[in-house]
Amino acid sequence: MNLTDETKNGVIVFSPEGRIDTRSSSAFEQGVMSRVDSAEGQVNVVMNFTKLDYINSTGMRVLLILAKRLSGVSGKLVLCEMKDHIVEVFKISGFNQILTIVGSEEDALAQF
Amino acid sequence: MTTDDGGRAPAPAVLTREIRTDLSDLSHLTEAVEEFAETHEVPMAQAQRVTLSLDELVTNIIQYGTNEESDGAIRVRVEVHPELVRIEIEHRGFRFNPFEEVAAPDTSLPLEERPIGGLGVFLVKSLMTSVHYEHEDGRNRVTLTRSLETADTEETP
Repeated sequence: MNLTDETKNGVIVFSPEGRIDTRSSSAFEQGVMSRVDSAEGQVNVVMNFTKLDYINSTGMRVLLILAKRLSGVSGKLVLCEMKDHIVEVFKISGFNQILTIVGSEEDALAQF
Repeated sequence: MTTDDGGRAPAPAVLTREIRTDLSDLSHLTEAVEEFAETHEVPMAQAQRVTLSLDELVTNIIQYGTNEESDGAIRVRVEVHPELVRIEIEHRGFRFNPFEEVAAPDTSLPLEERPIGGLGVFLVKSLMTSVHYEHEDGRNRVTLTRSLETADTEETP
């Protein structure tokens, strides 16, 4: 797993690449949380999953931790560009009810 | 069950692996299973369900299933039949039936109340056509099947 981030209109956009599995999820958690913790005040985050091929429940756990962390500072997490098999797993888990999932990154940035 | 000699099913394609209870071994295993499924023309959506289910259960064994009864090894067998994929996961250890002993998460809870975790086994039950557990001679064995006969675009609950 590779993780890059950039800031667009004050929103942190993360682009994880490859596979988030049990081995790589701690690196994913560390990368995301250290970036978010370094931001001040309200923090808004977009996860762009264009290059993400795979995520298991340990990676989904990180997204839940992140969403809770952001809602604590009146921020928001929006997910976009998800592959169909990943969307299926998020729906089964009810994550589509508690997280905002949209199509494109443009749609995601329009959520703020 | 009747046997029809005229329509005998062809032998399945079989992949067997023995891994250590180690997360880097697990990453290699899931990649090998994905490649094996692709080689044997399992539709991509089904292959993803199979890989994820295997990954979730082996993750649980590595994180919680090792104890003094364990020998640090997990055996996996994947069979691709024309109509289904069958996965067997076996390891030495105390009896532990993940399908009964892991509580299902309440997927309707709002964000603030959602517990962190407990999702893996629930995903396996949802993604597989059948799940089976047995404990025999000090070994835990889980058998999963995924029917390939349903359409790729199947709606899941």
